[in-house]
Amino acid sequence: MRLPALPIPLDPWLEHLRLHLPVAERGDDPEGVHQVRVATRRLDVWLELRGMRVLRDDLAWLRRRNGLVRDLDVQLLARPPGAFVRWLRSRRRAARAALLEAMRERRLEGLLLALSLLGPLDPPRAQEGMTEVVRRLRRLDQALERTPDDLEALHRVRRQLRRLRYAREWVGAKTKVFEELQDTFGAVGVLSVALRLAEAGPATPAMAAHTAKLGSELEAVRQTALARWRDVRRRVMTVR
Amino acid sequence: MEVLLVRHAVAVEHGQIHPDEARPLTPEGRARFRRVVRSLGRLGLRVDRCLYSPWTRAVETADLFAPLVDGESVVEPLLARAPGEDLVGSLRGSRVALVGHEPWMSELLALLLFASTDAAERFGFKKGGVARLEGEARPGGMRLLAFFPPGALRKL
Repeated sequence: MRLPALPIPLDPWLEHLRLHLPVAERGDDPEGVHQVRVATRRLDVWLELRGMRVLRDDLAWLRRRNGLVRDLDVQLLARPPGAFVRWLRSRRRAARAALLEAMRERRLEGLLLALSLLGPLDPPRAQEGMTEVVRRLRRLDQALERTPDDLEALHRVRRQLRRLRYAREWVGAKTKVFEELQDTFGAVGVLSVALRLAEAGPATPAMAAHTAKLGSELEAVRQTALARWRDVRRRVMTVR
Repeated sequence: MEVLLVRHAVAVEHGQIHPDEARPLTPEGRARFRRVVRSLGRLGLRVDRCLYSPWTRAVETADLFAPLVDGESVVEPLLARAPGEDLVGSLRGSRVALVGHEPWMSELLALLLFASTDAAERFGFKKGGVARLEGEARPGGMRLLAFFPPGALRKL
């Protein structure tokens, strides 16, 4: 892989975050919380490539508060059964109140200021960070092969794969094979969240049927994702 | 409650980077503070939470300090200004570290010990230095257990 010649600033995704925080705060467009989550994930990978541990806790705090609203938005957009919709809406109100509270905290002001002051990432350091991201993916892949039916093991590979994709984006490397996997792995993530929420939702016969349906859909996409991953993993972990 | 006050390690000279808040640590400052952290670890000093100023030299110092943090590291803008009761009131947990700047770390030390910042100038908080306090998180509620100059810590 050819490294970029120039240091890599985090500005594009910090600006993206700044741009979408007010949209997330207004709450009238689901893209707001979605883009905030996307930006915090990419910034977290930039910090990891730089070898930094601090600020990642702060990004994770913002992502947790924001992510719950996004998860509930995605479920509401999927048109679930009526009783579940009411339950999801009530959870969303609480999650949104927690997000608005977080947005008023000094921690967010400090996070944005600290990120804006950081110097760019040096390409050799990015290369070291990238090697570590790939190494971790290999370890998680080996763990998945030891327990291929373990959904959590697949989630760990899925999340690390996303981190590798973002790391490659930061250094300007190809990400085509990652984009191809995105739909399959994305479906595993969305259905897992849907199932977790449905299991916590109201106990009605309609919900029991809905939960069972989600369970079988998740099992089908889990198997598809596992097969797809086995097809491409060598390519992913050696792609230049 | 136990509190460690940490002044950031040696950073590039004032005027070399703009804005001043973005000054990073020097390679030597990083190497020296790593030795400080190693010594603090040998002394068994760990914290549950680390609060740090958003300015780069404090962020990078907090990053080097991270191996001694068992819980969360939290960016705290109040550490980039003169300390007051709002900062003291935000201290929670049983073992907390705060990473910041002069003259404010000396002022915070004086505030926690004497309920006033008047005596701050007497402390001479060196870059990479650490003060260890114990007591209640309120002005005048703490006592000083140790005040480590960085040179002494590096020799441990």
